[in-house]
Formats: sequence, structure tokens, C-alpha cells
Amino acid sequence: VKNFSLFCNHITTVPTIKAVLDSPDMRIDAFLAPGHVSMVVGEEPFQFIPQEYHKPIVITGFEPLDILQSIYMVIKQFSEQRCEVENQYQRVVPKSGNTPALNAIHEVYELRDFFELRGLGSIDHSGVRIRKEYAEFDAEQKFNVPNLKIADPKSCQCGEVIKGVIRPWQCKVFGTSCSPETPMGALMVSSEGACAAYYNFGNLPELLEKRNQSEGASAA
Amino acid sequence: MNAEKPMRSRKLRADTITLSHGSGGKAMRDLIDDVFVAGFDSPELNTLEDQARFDMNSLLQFGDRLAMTTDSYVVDPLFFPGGDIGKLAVTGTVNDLAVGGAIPLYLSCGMIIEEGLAVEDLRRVVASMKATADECGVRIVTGDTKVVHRGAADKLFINTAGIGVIPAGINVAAQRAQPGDVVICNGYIGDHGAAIVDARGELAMENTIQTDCAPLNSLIQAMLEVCPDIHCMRDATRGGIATVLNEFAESSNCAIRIDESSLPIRDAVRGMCEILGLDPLYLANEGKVIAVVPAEKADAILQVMQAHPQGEYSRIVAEVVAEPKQRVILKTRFGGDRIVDMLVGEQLPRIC
Repeated sequence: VKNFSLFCNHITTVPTIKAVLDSPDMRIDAFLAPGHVSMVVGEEPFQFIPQEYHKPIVITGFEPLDILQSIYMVIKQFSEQRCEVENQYQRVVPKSGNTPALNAIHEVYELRDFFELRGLGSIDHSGVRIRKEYAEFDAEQKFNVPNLKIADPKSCQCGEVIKGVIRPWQCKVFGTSCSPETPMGALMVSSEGACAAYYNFGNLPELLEKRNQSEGASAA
Repeated sequence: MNAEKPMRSRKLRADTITLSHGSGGKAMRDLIDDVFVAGFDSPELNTLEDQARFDMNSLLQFGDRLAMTTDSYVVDPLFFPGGDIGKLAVTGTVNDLAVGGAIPLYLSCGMIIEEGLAVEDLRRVVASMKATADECGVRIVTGDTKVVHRGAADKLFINTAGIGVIPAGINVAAQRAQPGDVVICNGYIGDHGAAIVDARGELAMENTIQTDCAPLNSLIQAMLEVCPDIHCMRDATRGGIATVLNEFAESSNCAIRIDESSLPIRDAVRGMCEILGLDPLYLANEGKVIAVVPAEKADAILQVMQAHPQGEYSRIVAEVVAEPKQRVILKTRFGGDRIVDMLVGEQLPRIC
């Protein structure tokens, strides 16, 4: 195959979570880990979260009852003063992940020194690139890909939402200049993003009113 | 049709369609005569005039208003479990007429063919259109053929327009839903959308999901016979039943409450939706009518629907209430309420 090339923008989960956990204003108490990522990587890569950061983490499925059960499991860990990796999504996620898939990933990709993430900035080892053995498919090698840096819009507060510093509706642009039709930040793009969920399923007028009041209060 | 009278029968000998079959010359006449005129076999088409002609008085016997609609069909793949683009092109347009209360009578058929299509595939599609048209009691009376360069279309696109007649006294309209009405659906939702994802072969699932592609006109006629006062009716195609219910709620300035536990969804469809993160409420159907009817007529309507081959699994899936206006709310299996909005863009599979 000569006419296929890949511009690799894949990201890694663990360094990104680490960067979030290391940021001084982080307010996250516990994690629900992504089911499909976990299906490939298994439980092991998340062990540092309870071991080094003492936060509970539950690998979670996607159906409403999965989410409810996982929240229950997190709360149970708190009440029993435990913190560990638990797997709510056992019907899909094996403990050791998917070895053939992991081997394929390691065969084709290697870690980048750093990668730029929307809302979080540059994070060490947070992305992968194609190994030189597969350079014939690597768009970065085959074409002149300009190293464009596109800064997040200044008013966009995705990073603070991800770190739990603010809730989606407290962002200055939520529901006004940032909406699912015209998203400014990553969390509004996907229907599963936190901001899109608040926008679609929250009471929008009420949330905007609440934000305006709190802005008024802080200004006073 | 730009062709001469069929004095002698012409045979199309080519295996694949080439640009010459759209050039207006002999190759095109052979294609039209051998594949389309012979395949559709309707008296209006056989005259090979540039237009079909109808007798006004014979239309008047069916009702007092004409209904007209058009739709284009671009499905990939052309053939899928339970149907094909030809069946879809007939049922889709017939259903668009039928949900307005119209009796569908005549269809046009415009074909845009990508150079390189196998003639055998085209014959299969035409045969399927003819069989479906016969089943629906409609005739394909006029048509057009274009052949485009490789890459300018995807194998085969079909446009059909349809004409039907609405009987006097029938007034189906999206703004007529009112609190107290109930919403009826004629069976399992999401089958077509799931079948198309499955037929593209990217999932390699163990089960084969069949499309629900089916004509609804005879079912709808039976429904209108027991209740001429059906308030709203649409076929839930792209955008699924969520989109249709939102259209009713918006046009009628009312709310619709869906009961999740009453939604008929096949296990195979539910399973695929769970894996991919799709919502069956938004999956396409090609043989599902959503009707808003007065509550006191619901039992009588359900009875005739369940006795009909297209309505065996009919049931009440939602009710119309006053508030919150222009909203569709899903009462979930575990007791919560969820807003079911229109989709902004395409439904996307889960990311992580």
C-alpha cells in the first residue's frame, strides 16, 4: 500500500491523568476510568492512582446503571477508607487487558517526548508517534507537516473543568459563545464531554442565571 | 424517457455500465428498454413519452387532495440483510405519502449510476423496485437515467418522487398532538440503522440484524379506517423516533413522555448500541410509523395494527402531556427523567 498515510495524534491516558493530579489547583476526589481504554490496557496502568495519589478509581461501563454502580463503588471505597483500582466493567474489561492489542500498539507506536493537549497544555509523554519501522505510513515523515501551535481561546476554561476547579456552567463562555453547534473547547465537542452533557441535559436558563449571579457576587 | 417506440426488443449485452449507457445513443436505449421498461413494466412507461399522463377523473375517485413527495436514496451497501436500495427507494417514498394519509399511486424513478456498476446489480435493484411497487399497489410511471464518471457517485443513487391522493376527511398534521393523546409505534425500533452498520462489515457481529424496510401504506389505511381522526403521523427514518417525537412536540407546542420500558428494541440492536454507544431512539428505521392518536381510539387502532403483518408488535410507546412545552422526556428504566433532544449532527460512537 503506497497511498495510505497516518497523521498520528493518539494520546496516552496515564501521563495525562498524572499531569492533572500534579496540578496544584486539582480538586478531584476519585476517578471513573474509561471502559474502552481499559479493555485494551487492563487494570495495571491505573495502580499509581491509589498507590501514589491515594484516590479511588473504578473502571466503568457506559450504560446508566454502570455509571450508578461505579459511583456507588467509589463512595463505598471512601466510607471504608480504602483506595484501590476496582473494575465495575468486568463483562468487558479483563484484568490484564488485551495482550495482542497492546503488542500491536507497541510494535507500531512509541512515546513522544511531549504532546500538546487542549485545555491542559504540553504534557510529557502524553502522545505517541509512529516508529521508524513504519515511517512509510507516517504523514509527519512523508509530508511537510507544519508544527502549528493553535492556542486555546483565552476565555475557554476546559482545563479548570477537567481538574474539577469549576463546574462546566461556571465557565465564562458556557452556553453563550460555546455550545454544541459552535464549540470552543474540547469538552463541548463530543456529546460525552462534560460541558456538552450539562448543555444538553441541564436546565440551561437556570444554569446561566446561576452563573450570572455568582459573577455578580464575586464582582461585588 | 428519451427513447423511441419499442418496435423491436432490445437487449443489453454489456456486463458493466459505462459512460456510453448515459450518452443518449443506442447503448442508452438498450439499457432503458431492456432494464427499465421491461423491468418496471407499467403502461404509462411503455408509451415512452417524456412524461406520464393521468386521467384527472380517475384520481378524484380516491379523494379530494393530491399529495406529492420526493426522496433520494444513497445507501451503502446497495444490498443488505432484508433489503436493498431499490426496495428502500420504493418503500421510503410510498411511506412518505402514506403517513400523510394519502393513498400512494404513482412513482417516478431517477437513477444516477456510477460508471462500472455491474448490470446484474442494476437488474436486481430494478426487479426489487418492481416487486416492492407491486406489493404497495403503485406504478413506476416515468424515469430518468444518468451515468457519471467513476468516483462522481457511489455505485448507484436513486431518486423517487411519488404522487398520492388524500381521501376527504383525513387531516394528519404534526401540529395536531394534544395532551391526553397517546403515541403508537408499529414495532421494533432501530433495526434499519443497526442493519446498515452491521452490513458494512466493520463489526463482524455474530448475529445478522435485518432491516425493517417495509411499505406502510396498507397498515396505515387499516389504521385510518378505524380512526380517520389520527392526529399526527410520520415514518421514523433518519434521526429515529426521537427526531419525529421532537417534531411533534415542537409543532404542537406540547410535551411527549416516552416510557423506556415500553420501547420495543431487539436484543441484538440493544447490544450493538451498547458496544458502540449509539442510542436506538436516534437510529434510522425504514418501516416504522409513529402515530399520535386520541387515547380512546388507541385500543381499536392497536387491534387492527397487531392483526397486520407490518404491525404485529405495535404498542403504545409514549403519551402527550402539556409540560414542559416542546420537549421530549424519556422515563428511564431506573426511574430517572432524561431529555431526548434533536441530534446536533451525526450520532457518533463512543470515544473512550
